Amino acid sequence: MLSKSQARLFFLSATGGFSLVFLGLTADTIRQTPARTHQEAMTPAVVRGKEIFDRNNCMGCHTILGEGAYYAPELTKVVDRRGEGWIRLFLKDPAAMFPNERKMVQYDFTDAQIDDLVAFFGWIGRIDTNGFPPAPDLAPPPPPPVAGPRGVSVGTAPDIFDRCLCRVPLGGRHRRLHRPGARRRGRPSTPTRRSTPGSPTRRP
Amino acid sequence: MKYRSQRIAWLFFATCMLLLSLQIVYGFIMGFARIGFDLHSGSRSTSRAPRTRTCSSYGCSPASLGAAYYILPEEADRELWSPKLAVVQWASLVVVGVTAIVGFHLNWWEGRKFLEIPRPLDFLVVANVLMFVGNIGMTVWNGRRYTTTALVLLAGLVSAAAVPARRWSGSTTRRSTPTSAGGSCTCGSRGVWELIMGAILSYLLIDSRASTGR
Repeated sequence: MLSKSQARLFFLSATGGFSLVFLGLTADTIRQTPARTHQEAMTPAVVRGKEIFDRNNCMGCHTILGEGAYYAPELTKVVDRRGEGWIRLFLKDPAAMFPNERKMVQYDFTDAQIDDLVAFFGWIGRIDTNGFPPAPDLAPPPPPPVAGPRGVSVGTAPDIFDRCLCRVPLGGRHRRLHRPGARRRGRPSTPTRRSTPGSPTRRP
Repeated sequence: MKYRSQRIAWLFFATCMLLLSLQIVYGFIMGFARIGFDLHSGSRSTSRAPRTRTCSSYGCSPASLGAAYYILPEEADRELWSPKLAVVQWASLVVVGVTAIVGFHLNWWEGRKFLEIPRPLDFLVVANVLMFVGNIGMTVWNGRRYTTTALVLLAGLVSAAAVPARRWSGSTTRRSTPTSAGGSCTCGSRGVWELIMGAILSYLLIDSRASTGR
């Protein structure tokens, strides 16, 4: 059993010590932030993109840098994962890309706003995050990104999206493409109905 | 109830119950959206903030504020310093809460996690917090006795008032948000709330038993 003075010493030294550690780590983080985020590359478009992201409460569903609502996809490395062309197309009409899936709000972004958002995601993706987001331990390695027409790299969709895949050919007119006999809501399609990655599915 | 001004706690309790019911409604909206029954395409993204806000900010805080208005007069052995100020503070809390929740549905956000309410409302929150801290601080300061329960509760509530200070941190880069969120969540939720809960629990276990003579 501690005496009263020992208890006081224990309380003061532990509280003070750990407060100092906390403050030190915080100061160290703040010191490293400009270099790790490549602050010099933060153009006005990046800042505008961030404002669009905040003003529409995108983190009400998405996460970015691991922070958000854990409902819609993580967006830290979205440019690496999908490619800029894919993101531009998706933001034009989110529901057309993945019908029958969770719906992203149609924000009716202008082309300039989409440019800003892409710039913002590109800047976020180059932040040194110590390897965040980590690669999943158990999931099979993703197929390599598919090169679309005009040399635009089109990232492949995660497996869950392949189940009702609705590929939109880049470079062509943006069309809502529904596969014949698309699965009904909530019922997973059989593997035989899954389209091969990279082959655009067209309306017959 | 030893003092008339303790009755202010009822206002906060009623607000809390209302928020609890709202929280359940929003929870159902989100749950249905999750299994594919979206009310509309934005129902999930819009419901998230009202649900967490009705739960934590507008739910827990009226609860702890009301508890403080109930506990501190008894601990300090005097009436609340200013019951009128407490009512004004309650009203401003309701104004912030209602404006924020209606604003969320009109796509009016600040847009950082747990800092969803737009900047103009932040000023009202600061006024609110100052009114509250001033009121309970003066109650304890002018009290006829200083009890450990009262002092710990006061320390907890004053520190809790400082937690949202990160709201004012610059946010041109999103990089600072996780750092400040980590700091305020760790210090705020895990540290400060321990003080508040500890004080309320000690009041329930020690003081209320003593005052009822059991």
